[in-house]
Amino acid sequence: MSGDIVFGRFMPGNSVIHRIDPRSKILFLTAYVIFAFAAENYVSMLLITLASIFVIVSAKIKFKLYLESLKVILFVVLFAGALNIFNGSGHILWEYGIIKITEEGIKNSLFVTLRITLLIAVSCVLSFTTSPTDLTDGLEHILKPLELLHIRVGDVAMMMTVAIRFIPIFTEETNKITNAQKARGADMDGGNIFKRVKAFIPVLIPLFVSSFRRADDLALAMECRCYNGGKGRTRMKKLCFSRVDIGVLLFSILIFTGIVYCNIYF
Amino acid sequence: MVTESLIQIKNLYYKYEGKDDVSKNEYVLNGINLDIKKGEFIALIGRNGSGKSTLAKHLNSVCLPSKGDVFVDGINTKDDKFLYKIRTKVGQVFQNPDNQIVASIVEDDVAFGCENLGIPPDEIRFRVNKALTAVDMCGYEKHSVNTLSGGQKQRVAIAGIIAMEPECIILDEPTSMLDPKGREEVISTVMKLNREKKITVILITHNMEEAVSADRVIVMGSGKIILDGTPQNVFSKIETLNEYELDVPQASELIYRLAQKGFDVPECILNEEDCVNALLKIMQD
Repeated sequence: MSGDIVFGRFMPGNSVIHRIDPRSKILFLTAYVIFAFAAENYVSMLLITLASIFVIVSAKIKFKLYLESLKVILFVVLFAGALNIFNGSGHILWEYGIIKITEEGIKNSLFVTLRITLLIAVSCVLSFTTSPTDLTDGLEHILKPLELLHIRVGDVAMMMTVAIRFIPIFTEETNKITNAQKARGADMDGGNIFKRVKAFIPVLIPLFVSSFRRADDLALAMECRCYNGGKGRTRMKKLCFSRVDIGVLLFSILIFTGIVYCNIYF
Repeated sequence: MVTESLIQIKNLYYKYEGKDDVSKNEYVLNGINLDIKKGEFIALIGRNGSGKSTLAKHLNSVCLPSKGDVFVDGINTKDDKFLYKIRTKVGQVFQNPDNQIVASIVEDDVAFGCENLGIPPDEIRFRVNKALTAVDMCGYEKHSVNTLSGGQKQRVAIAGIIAMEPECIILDEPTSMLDPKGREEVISTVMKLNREKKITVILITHNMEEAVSADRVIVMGSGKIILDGTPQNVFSKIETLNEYELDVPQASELIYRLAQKGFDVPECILNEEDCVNALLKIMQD
């Protein structure tokens, strides 16, 4: 069912974060990625962690949802963390052939794990607090300069809107087809990785066919509702910056200077 | 009753271009003449492939006639300049609610048509609220479409059309993918829109109980109009309907068979209540 995926779901609400203009949120997230990787010692890492916690708490979204989102990519996080243990020089704690664990390696691993976790949590804040339409509208505005390069930003935004709309539908459909093929005796779970990939083909083909049919239907429905490629299109919701957005700007500057300061003086 | 005509179809022929040779020379629509008046509630019935949906597509310029003309409020659908005007006047709701909703949030989807028309934001907001009230979906503005039931999704789709303030809505089998509750929700919404907002409704359906609630029933078969009249009128012609493999409301069929056996029953009965009364009368006699 569509209810299963938490990651990328919008939770209507009325927190400060909900009221921030989507453009500010997207730009903040971009800056935040840079901040997270710029933090290189324990003090600056602590600073960025505190900043993230502040953002997460202000969004007033149930903490459980973040955990569920993290669970999905737990493997990636742990894998990246584990790999980094062996990466680094300095004081050797344990050695076996060419594999050695150093103090710096442990620090690296800790930082990478923390960084990814924080990035995911803060991205979740963006997707939980921003409606898909606001998100695509915001992106459309940010990418507007690309129109100078003859990229049709409006079309890209419409594609994103439709893509977001259809993700849960296709998830549900994949489950349905999988069950239908199982009912016909298909072996979906057994075997090695190659067998499993091969077993997925009977699911993929019907899914592909059905997606074309849906696209056809949707195109017709959109045409009937006078969609003409975005020319002369207006928006119900006008995006406008408010005082909260100035707050976001100040907050970003604060974190940035904080991290630079900590990186230099600690 | 307003008697001004909204849609006029004159000698309409249509065939799909560029299909394989077998169907190439066959007309899907075979000389259709039809006059639809403002405010009418029309049920369009016929078996699969009878040309119902193709006919519907002609009413908002999705398909253009191979021969003949279709006029919407006096405008020929072939006229390119008025394409969006025609599509604003005649909105269409489709069978699968999932495949016609564009945005993930209810109010954003309802606004989609208006946004395409370039209506100012405040006016869109006003229309969206009005449309959601009209389909009884107030309070769901910020809901995700995926959390709604089939009937609710279909009503959101209807609201999306209503917001464009059309004169006519075509519903192409809007209830065939819904459960009985959703079906009931959608049909009562459509009937309310027809009564209160005087919107012309063309309901394409396989469900005879739905057809009975219309003012006028049009039966199609092999691209032609076979029967056209009030539900009483159409459903009393049981032989013709059977010939085209169409169902008849159970009550009508029962009374028809009784009449054939020589019982004294009214000529045509559409709903169960009247049927029960007629049966009681026979038993009392």
